[in-house]
Amino acid sequence: MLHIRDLDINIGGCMLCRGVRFNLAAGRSLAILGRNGAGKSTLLATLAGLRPASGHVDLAGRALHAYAPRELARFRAWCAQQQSDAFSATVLQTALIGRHPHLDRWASESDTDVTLAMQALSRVGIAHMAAHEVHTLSGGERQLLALATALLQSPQIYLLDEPLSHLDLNHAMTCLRVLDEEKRQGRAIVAVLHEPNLALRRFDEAMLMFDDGTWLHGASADVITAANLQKLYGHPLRALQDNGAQWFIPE
Amino acid sequence: MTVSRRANAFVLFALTGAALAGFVLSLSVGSVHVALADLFTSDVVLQLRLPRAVGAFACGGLLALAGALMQVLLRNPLGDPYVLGVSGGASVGALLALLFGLSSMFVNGAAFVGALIALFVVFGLARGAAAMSQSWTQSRLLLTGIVVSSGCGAIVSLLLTLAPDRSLRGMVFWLIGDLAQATQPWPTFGLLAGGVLCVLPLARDLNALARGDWIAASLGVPVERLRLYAYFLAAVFTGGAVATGGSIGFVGLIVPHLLRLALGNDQRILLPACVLGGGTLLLLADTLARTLIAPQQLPIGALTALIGVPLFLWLLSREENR
Repeated sequence: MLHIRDLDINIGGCMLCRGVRFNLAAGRSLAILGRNGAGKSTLLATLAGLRPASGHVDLAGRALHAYAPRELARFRAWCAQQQSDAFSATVLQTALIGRHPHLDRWASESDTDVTLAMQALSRVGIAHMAAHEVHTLSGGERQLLALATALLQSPQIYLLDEPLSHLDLNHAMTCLRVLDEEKRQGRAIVAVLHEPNLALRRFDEAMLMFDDGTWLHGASADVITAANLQKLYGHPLRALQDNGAQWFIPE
Repeated sequence: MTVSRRANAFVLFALTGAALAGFVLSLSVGSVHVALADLFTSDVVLQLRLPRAVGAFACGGLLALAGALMQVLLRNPLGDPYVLGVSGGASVGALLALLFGLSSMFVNGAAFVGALIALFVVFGLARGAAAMSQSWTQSRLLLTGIVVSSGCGAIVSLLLTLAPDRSLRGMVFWLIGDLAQATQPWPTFGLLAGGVLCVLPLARDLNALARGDWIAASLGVPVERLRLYAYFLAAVFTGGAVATGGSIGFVGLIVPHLLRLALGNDQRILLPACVLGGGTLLLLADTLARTLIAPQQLPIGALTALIGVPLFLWLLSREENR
């Protein structure tokens, strides 16, 4: 689904990550871990085609830049780290913008689109807020709304920038369950996370982005180790064993 | 959703009705009373009032449409059609023409040329930043517009100081906004009609753009192209309006904001509503301006503010209480 070769991540002339290469198959999930400012969001935006890529990014066997914008929007969804709404709108209206790439220029959202939107809102657990003003939502609820908007794009691959930030435990689990459902439908998922334990348990693969511009990619169980995490975050961690599973806690 | 679509159709229908009623009112009142039956045969109506009413409607519609576009482009409800320096350039052009005692057609032409010059200066200077990040380009565009505006403001003050007394009154009226000079409104009306046709197909793209550049881009909107196109359209609309009626303030800021409070931010309904609402507001304001203390005429720019400010404050306080 996603093939990356020799991708350099740099922002404002500063090289953050060099020669990234990995593949992600359909129905697989990848967690990106790293310190603040390591270039996780920049990598994600590059994969989404929102910034020019220096290197090769192929989506479903075609170069990213060969896609027309609308076509690309039907293929991948990207969720920003933070949502800002300059103008007031209801939750339902905000979610419906996810149908944009599926509608013709003169078409407006049909009843089917509204039904789809209500389904997406109920999957992330905020259907009861459909008529609320988007400005009245809490940070976590706004994040769930962004996920619902991405679901409405019905893409083949999700690129999510910290989808779990601002979410309480219950909502975080809802979000992960929805992502698992999408995975079972054959969609690929790339998510920036700050939770090594969740990355280990709920994601198939992981990529660690170190401060010195190096990176490590592999199956989460192979890559997410106490030693690697210690190097990644620059803080000592301890691994606890529980029924054969590992848990990491900061010292 | 179907319900709200019906509500939207009703709003547009009501605004169209209001616009038509505004036209009938504007054509029938004045120093010569014209009966409703003679509305389309009377010379006073056809040669004096109709051009002026069409000019007022076109100016109001263009300013409100440009304002709505600027508010989306800047993602700020305080956006205004004049932020790109277009009205400053137009003022310099018009005042120069007035200074040399040229006829009103030349004044309008000079204003439009001045607006275009300001537009190209602003875009030309801000272009260097295109390679930078989007928000930087945007703030650079804004800053360039503001600086060009204030530069033009300085030239305007200079021209006002240097002008002989006989042209001073005309200049001041032009600066506040005056539709008495709108003798040839049909090109402006054509610009409005063409503008609506150019903008409406983009309405849903603009909805996406209002949520932010990257979100719009991730939804398949060609952001850079759309943004440049919409800026350009907004500037041309403003130039056309200013060349016809002078720099009439307030309509471009308040009408889109007012209608957004009432209708929400769906550009598919907001943009046509702005054209009808802005046009009708200016039409009514101009009717008042020429009848309130006839035969003396009031400057329309002052009247639009007097009508709009209380209305706007009332809507805003209602919004807060909700």
